[in-house]
Order: sequence, then structure tokens, then C-alpha cells
Amino acid sequence: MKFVHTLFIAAFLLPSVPSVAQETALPDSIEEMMDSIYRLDDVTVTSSRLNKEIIPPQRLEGKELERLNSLSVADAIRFFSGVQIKDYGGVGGIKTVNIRSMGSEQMGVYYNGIQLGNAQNGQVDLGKFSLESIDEIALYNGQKSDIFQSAREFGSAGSIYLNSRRPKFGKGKNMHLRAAMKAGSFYLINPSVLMEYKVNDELSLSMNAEMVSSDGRYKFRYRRVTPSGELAYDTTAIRENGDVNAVRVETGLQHYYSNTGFWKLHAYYYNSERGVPGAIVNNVWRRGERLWDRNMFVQASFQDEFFRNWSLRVNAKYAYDYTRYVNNDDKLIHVDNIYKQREAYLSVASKYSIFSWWDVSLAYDFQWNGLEEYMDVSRTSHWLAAATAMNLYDHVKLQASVLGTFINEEARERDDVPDKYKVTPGFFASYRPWKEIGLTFNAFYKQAYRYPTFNDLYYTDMGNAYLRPELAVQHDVGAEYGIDRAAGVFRSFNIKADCYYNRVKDKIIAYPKGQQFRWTMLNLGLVKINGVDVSAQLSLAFGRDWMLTGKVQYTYQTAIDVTDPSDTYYGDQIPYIPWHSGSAIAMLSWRNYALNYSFIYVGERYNQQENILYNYTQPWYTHDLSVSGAWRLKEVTLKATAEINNLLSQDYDVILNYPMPKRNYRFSLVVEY
Amino acid sequence: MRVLRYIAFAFAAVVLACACREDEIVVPTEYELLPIPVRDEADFAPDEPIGMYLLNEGNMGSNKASIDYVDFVNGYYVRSIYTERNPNVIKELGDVGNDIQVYGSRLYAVINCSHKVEVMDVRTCRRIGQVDIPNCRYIRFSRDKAYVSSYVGPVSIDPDAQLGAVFEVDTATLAVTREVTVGYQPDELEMLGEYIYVANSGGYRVPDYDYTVSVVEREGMKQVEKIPVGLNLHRIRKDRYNRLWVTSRGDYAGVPSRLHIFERKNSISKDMVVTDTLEIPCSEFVISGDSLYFYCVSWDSQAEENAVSYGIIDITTKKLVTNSFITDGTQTDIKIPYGIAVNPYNGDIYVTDAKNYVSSGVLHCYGRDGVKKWSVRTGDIPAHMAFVYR
Repeated sequence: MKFVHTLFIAAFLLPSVPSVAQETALPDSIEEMMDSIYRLDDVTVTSSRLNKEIIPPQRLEGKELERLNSLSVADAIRFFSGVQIKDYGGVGGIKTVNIRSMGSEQMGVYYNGIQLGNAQNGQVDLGKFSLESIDEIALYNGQKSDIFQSAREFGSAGSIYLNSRRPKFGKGKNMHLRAAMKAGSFYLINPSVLMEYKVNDELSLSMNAEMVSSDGRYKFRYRRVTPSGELAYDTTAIRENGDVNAVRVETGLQHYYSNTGFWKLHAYYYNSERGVPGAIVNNVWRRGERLWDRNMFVQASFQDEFFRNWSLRVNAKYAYDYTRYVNNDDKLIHVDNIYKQREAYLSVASKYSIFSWWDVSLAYDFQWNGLEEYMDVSRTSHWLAAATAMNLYDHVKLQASVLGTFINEEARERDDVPDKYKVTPGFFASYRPWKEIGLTFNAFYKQAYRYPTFNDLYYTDMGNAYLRPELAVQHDVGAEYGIDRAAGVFRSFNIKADCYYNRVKDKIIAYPKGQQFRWTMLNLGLVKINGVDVSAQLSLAFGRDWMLTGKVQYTYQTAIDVTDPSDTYYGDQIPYIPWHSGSAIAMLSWRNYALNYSFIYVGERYNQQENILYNYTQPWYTHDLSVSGAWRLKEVTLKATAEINNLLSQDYDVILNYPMPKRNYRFSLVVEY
Repeated sequence: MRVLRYIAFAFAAVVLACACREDEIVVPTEYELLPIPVRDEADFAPDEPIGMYLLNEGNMGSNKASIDYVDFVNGYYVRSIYTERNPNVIKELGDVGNDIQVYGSRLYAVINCSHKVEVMDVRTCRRIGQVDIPNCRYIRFSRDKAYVSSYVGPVSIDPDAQLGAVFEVDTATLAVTREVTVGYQPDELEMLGEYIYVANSGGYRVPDYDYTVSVVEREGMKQVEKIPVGLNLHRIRKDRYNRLWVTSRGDYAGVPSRLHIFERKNSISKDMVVTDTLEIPCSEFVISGDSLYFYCVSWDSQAEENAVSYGIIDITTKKLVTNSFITDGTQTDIKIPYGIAVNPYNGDIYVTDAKNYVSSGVLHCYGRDGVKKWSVRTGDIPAHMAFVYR
């Protein structure tokens, strides 16, 4: 039933999907609801979306996402191939992602279809985004290969889509309530509530609120031996100043007024205070930095189809971010800085179907960004994208897009900044030789520019107003094979492999200006990246109601600095990029009980540019385990989960001197009506 | 069910195969032969260095401050000698080394972001103890007392205008005995007569840099005067004529770096004044005899690269003798000179290269004639050197 159900929603999202969904009914009993919630068979859905997306993304959604031992979006993204996470540890630690070694500024993160921005430093802290409200995470290499999208979406080197839950109602119900409580190690307390209200069949309202609180005090251990094997030191300490207190409130109003048209309004508010635990170095076990974040945005979307072949989508957003950073450490110079960022965004996208097999699209986006207090600067950006997609007898699908970006800098404090203007193309193709056999070949070529951030351009005495955008060129070829069956032991099997070659040119790097750590930003770097991503998934059904799903993914990657042959690190792997990384997930379920195991491996890597002994960082790997059960009491369902993370209590640093927690636990209880 | 068993086995195999994490080894030590003759230690004159310690700063937050040792007796270079001699020190030497000095039979290393002065035996590099001083910068000695400059003095009413301090440490007990408040973010200090002269930088107060030298009366540990010298002061060293040579960093924009001479107004007066400011930008220098060896790195915004010069000033005439003491053209191998020392016995010149501050540096040795003798890889940001005698 999940298939039908999801397709029902998909029909609203993708107006040109044949309108079969309309005729099928919603699940008509709690029984079916349970089925749809507790069964993992999204494969059919994915293949139906293939119609629109030439290269399907890596996706985690619904039940599967819920079962991973993850608190934030960043925790879940670790299970995607080709992704590297920088994790500074703990509930409140910063977590950023980087895809295929191109740098986290090259990554676009979209929340319900609209990009999350940080014009100041270009990075989005995914640790702040709770999984509580998120129903689906999709990762696209290059761009979403669907031409009906906003112009900005054609612009990132890699894209992560976070889609929040869409209201779902049982038959005859006009209200859906969900209350959850998570608690665990480090005094983690994480209550949340969700309320969805159906005004009528078309209009619904949703509200979601969450609080996260943790004292962030976790034990970590540093143990070293001498080369001869004697114990040098072994110390266990408690991470200090890693506390976090955050509140998130979201509310949405959605009106699906016809088969093809809808409008949505969404408001988001996040407020937090956290300690910045900092690096653990000799004689320093505690620091005094504090950070306050307040993020809010309102976004609106409208979409409809007119005259059967012309579709229009309008998105608008206004965001305000406030950050205050205070250094209260009495051993350091006192700092108290406030940063205020504002963003206004408007996007209009339209698609026209010339024939049933040939679409063209045009999109225009406008954005204004302003930064106040610490630096007083603003920027206006315009994006204009044209794209076309063809489907030749369902065997060959082609897509080409071209994006023009125009950035108008207005620096009020410093010197004039040249306006920037770039045109970037993208080509995507897939080939399915046989209709009956689920084998697909795909390839893409894409250029993406990453624009210098406000920090790059204007940071006191360090910014360089003359920076050019950084260019990432991606080449990728891949193949995917999948089978799905409705019966038998082997239910589904899917294997996917991709080879890629990327070049990051004019990479923006900090370059020493000489005296006393004074830096400047220059377009100096050149990095060549070669890699292979392989992933496979297998689902088995056996015995009475037993189901086993296994997923593995592996990435091999070289990311070589080829900036200057006279550098000692010329030809070396760039910092924090492992050659080997991978993950495995096994999910075993029996009726309403589930056992979930996940394993993450990040191989050896270096913490600085030179690949020498002094910069060597050992592999780390964690085993996580969870058990869950669900029970139904009349109209109410109850779900309980217990998780153990870092089962073997490995002591590891993802980033040098930022120790990660040892074994830790989490429990959650969800009541749903 | 058989399928399940296979899968369980497969997982067990994967888990075991991946268990390739080894015991973490304490930062390793490397020995490298240098192209210098091996000599008997007894052949060294009493005023001839038998070795030189080199302190690598390490990038902030990396905890990679390290001590290397050039062994002139056995002719080798020891990379990271501290961890070999002190494997039991938790989290090694620390974060950002800022100064290294020898006093008596002890070696003192100022570790800025670890807020401590590490005290070691000069011959073995074995740790004796540490003195906790917040945000410590430079160390000098006088009459069995150590004086350490620090960016943070007592907490002030205005948290954004915190003055720096000089701490007095008893070298016998390694206890802080007294403290005196000086100017903003004091860097180097120098002992001359009964006074301590402290170069205040005000480096965190951009654009309101400090421009004064604090004069501290040592007996009473009191700041008696603050004398204007130049913008954003850094180095302060005495020569054999009891003059102080002071460098100012300038503001990196309109006001350039300069070298100031600071001395008594006349032979009767005790008042110190700036008697001369040389139109020579200077990042770091060392005085050997009547020669002042210096280098300067300044940013050329037109060419978007650093302009570097290496010169010698005759301190008696205050004139530039040469603007390139490296004579064989090998100065182009140096990206960012970051430390300089001159062997007082044979006149060899040591210049360190910090490269991009986040990769290992190089120590270059040039003969008195400016011809390169050898180069060796160091730790990250090699910066400060101290000689060891028999």
C-alpha cells in the first residue's frame, strides 16, 4: 500500500505523472496504515520517479530513515556514498558535509525545495537539522536531473534535499497527532510534537515543535603507546562546554486544490545556545566560547499546470539569521561579535511540453543577501537557467541545461568588488537497453561555480575582493541494475556503480601574507579527484513475516593537490579525505518488531596537506545497534526504540583533537494518534 | 534460515576485516643525518654550540608544537625530540610554541595556546615541570628569575580593553612570584640594567594598535613608564652597547614595519628615548657582534605575493651592509622566512621557512659567506632557536 500511497502524493508533486493515483483510495484501515508505516518497499516508488529524473539520487526515507541511529540530518547522510562528514563531536558540534571531495561550500542544501543559505561562510551546519521533521533525504551528484526546477538548483556541484513530512491522515480522520520523547546519554532530552489538521480534502495545516537539550558532557579517551609498545599515556576526560539548548518550531499550510495545482506556506524558527567545546590540546581541557543562533525563515510555493502542457512554479523565501559569538575564556582575549544575515529570494520556473517526449524549461531566480553588524555588505544575485529534456522511446533519456549567474556585489565598507558573471552547462544522459531488464547506464558532465562567500571577500584584513569564483568540473559514468519481485525470498536487489573524475580549479584557499598569521584569500588551488562509488541493496522475505534488508556502500577516492609542483604536498591526498570509506546497514524485522544494525567505516587519511607520518590519522569505524517495537491500542500506536551507538566504544577523532563520544545510548518513545 | 546464516557470516567477516585500527603511537621521532662532520664533544670550545634546539610553533588547534634538535656533535637532526624523551606527557608538548630559551642548565619553551612554560633539562630535553601562565608569549631571564610576557593581565572592567602582563617566575621553584600589568598584548621583552623593557603590540585592537614600550622596574615589579616607539611593536633586543633594537609591525596598510633604536638620552640620563628609526622594514632579526641580521616579509598587493628581503645592518653605523646575506641565489627556495639565528662561534646563519603554516617547514643553514650548506625538514612552522653549549 505504501506504493499507492506515495504515488498519491507524488501525483501532486509531479503534475504530469499519469493520474491513476487519484482513483486509488487511501489506506482504509489502521491495519493498512501499519503496513504502510512498517514495511520497507519503496523501490517501486523510486522507479516511478525515474520517469522524471534521469539519474536517480541516493535516497533515505520514511521508515528506513527512522530506523538509522541518527539524531540529525548529518548522522543520516553518513550512509550515502561519496560523502565525507566533518564532525566536531557531540550533539552540539558542527557537522558539515562535502561530496566527492569538492568542499562543503560546493554543496547545495535544499529544505522543502528551497536552498538554505549562509552567505557569510557558505557552509550549512547539518547537525542543526533534526530528523524529527524530515521524511526524506535525497542526495544528487551534480544536480537533480529534473528540468522543472528553480534556476539555483542547476548551480550546485552536489545537492541534498531535505523534505519535511507531508500531512497524512487515516480514513475518516481529520487530525493526526504525534508526540515523541527521546532521551539518552549526555543528558540528552529531546521532546517533540507534531500536529496535522485536515481542514478539508484539499487544505491542511501542520505544526511541529521540538526541543533539544544536552549537557554535552561525554567521556573521551586518549591512549598512546611508544613505538616499542609500552604504554605512553592513557587518559580519560570529560568533554566540557559542549552543552546545547535548542528549540525549533515549524508550521505549514498546504492547499492541494486540484490534481495539478497547489500552494504551500512554511515558516521555520530555530533558536539555540551552545558551547563551542574546541580542540583538546595539552593543558587545555575546557574552553569558554559560546554561540547563539537564531534562524528563521518563511517560504511559499505555488505550482500548477495550464493548457495541459505548460507548468509554472513560483517559490519565495525570506530568511533572517542572527549569530552571536562570545569568547569568555579568561586566558584569551575577550570577543563578542554579532552577525546578522538577511536573505530574500524569489524564483519562477516554467516548463513546456512540446511533445510528450520533449520538454523545455526556463527559470529565473533572484536573491538578495545582506550581512550586518560585523561586516556591512550586501549582494544581489540573478540566476537564469534554460533546460531541455528528451525521452526517446523510454530507452534513452537526455537532458541539457545552461545556467547563467550574475552576482552584483555591493560592499559598503571596503573597496569596490567586481561583479561576477558565469555561464555553466550540464549534460545528463541515461540509457536503458531493455525495457524488461532493470539495467540502466548513465553519465553526466557538469560545471559548477562556488561564489566567494562574504568571509572570503571581506573578512577583516584577510578577505580578497578580487577573488574569482571557484570552478568544479564533474564527469561521471555509472550503471545501475535492479530487480523487484512481489513474492519469493528475494524481493529486491539493486546494485549501482559510478566512476567519476572531478577537477576543482581556482580553488579559494587561504594564503599566508607573511607576518604573524596574516592571511589572504587567493584563487590558487587545483585539485583532481578520481573516485568510484558502489552501492548495493538486497531485500529478503522469509519464514512468517520475516524481512531482511541489507545495504552496503563503498567509496574509493583519490583527491590530489596539484597546485604547485614545488609544494611538499604536491600530489598528496587533500586533508581529511579517506581513500576508502563505506557503510553497511542490516535491518531485520518481524511483524512490528525490528532490529537494526549499522556500520560506518572511514579509512586512513591525513589531517594536513602533507601525507607524512606526523599528519596520519587512523581509520575509525562505529557499530550502531537499535531495536524497536510498535504496538497498537485502539486508535493510538505506540513505538519504542532503544539504540546503542559506538557499540565497541572506539575512541576516535573525525577532526584532529576533537574527540568523539565513546559508547552511548538513546531511547525513544513515540505516541501517534 | 540458511540465507540468514550466510548473511550473518558475511557481516562477521566484514567487521573483522575492517578491524584494522592499530594502537595509536605517540608522535614519532625521526633521526636524519646532516652533511656535517662528526666530532668529539671534547673538541668543542666552551663558547662553541654543540647543538641547537628548534621550536616548531604548529598551527593553532593542531597541538603540533614540537621541539627538534640539531646535534652538531654527531651530525644529525632529531625531529620531535620532545616526544621521544617525554612519551608520558599527555597530549605532548602542546599547542602553538612561541619562544624557546636556554638559561643555566634548563631549557624553557613558551607554549602560547597551552598557557604554560615547559621546563626541561637542556642536555636531555627531559621535562622537569611546567609553569602555568595564561596566553604566554616570550621569556627572558635575570638573576635566577624568569620573566614571561602574557597577552592577558588581570581582568579589567572593560572586557574588551584587557591589558597584558609580565609574570615573574622563580626558576628554582617554578612558581609565579609576582606579576605586573603592562600595555596591550605585549610581545618580546628585554632585560637591561635594573629594568625590563616590554614591546606592546596591541595586535588584537585593530586598528588601535599599541605603540609603546613599557618600562618595568624589576626590583619593585612596577611599570614606571610607557614610552612611545612605533606602531604595533614586536621584537626588542639589546646590543653590546646597551641599546635596544625594537621592531614595529606597522598596520599592514599605510604604516610600514620599521626598526627603531631605543637608548639612553645621554650618558648621564636614565631616560630612554628613540634616537633613530631606520627606514628598513624588519620582521625578525638577530644581533651577532656588530652585525644585525634580519629578514622582512611584506605583502605586495599588486603582485599578490610576498616580497622578502634578507639583510645585514652594521649596528655601529646603522647602515645597511647588504640587502641579501644569502649570496648563492637559494633564497628563492624560502617561501616564508619565519626564524633566524646566527651561530656565535662560526657565523653560520640559520633561517627557517614556515611555507604555508600548515605543512612542515625547512631549516636552512648558510655559511658566513651566504652559501647554503644544508637544509632539513622540520615540524610545522619552525620559528625559534636556542643554542646549547658544552
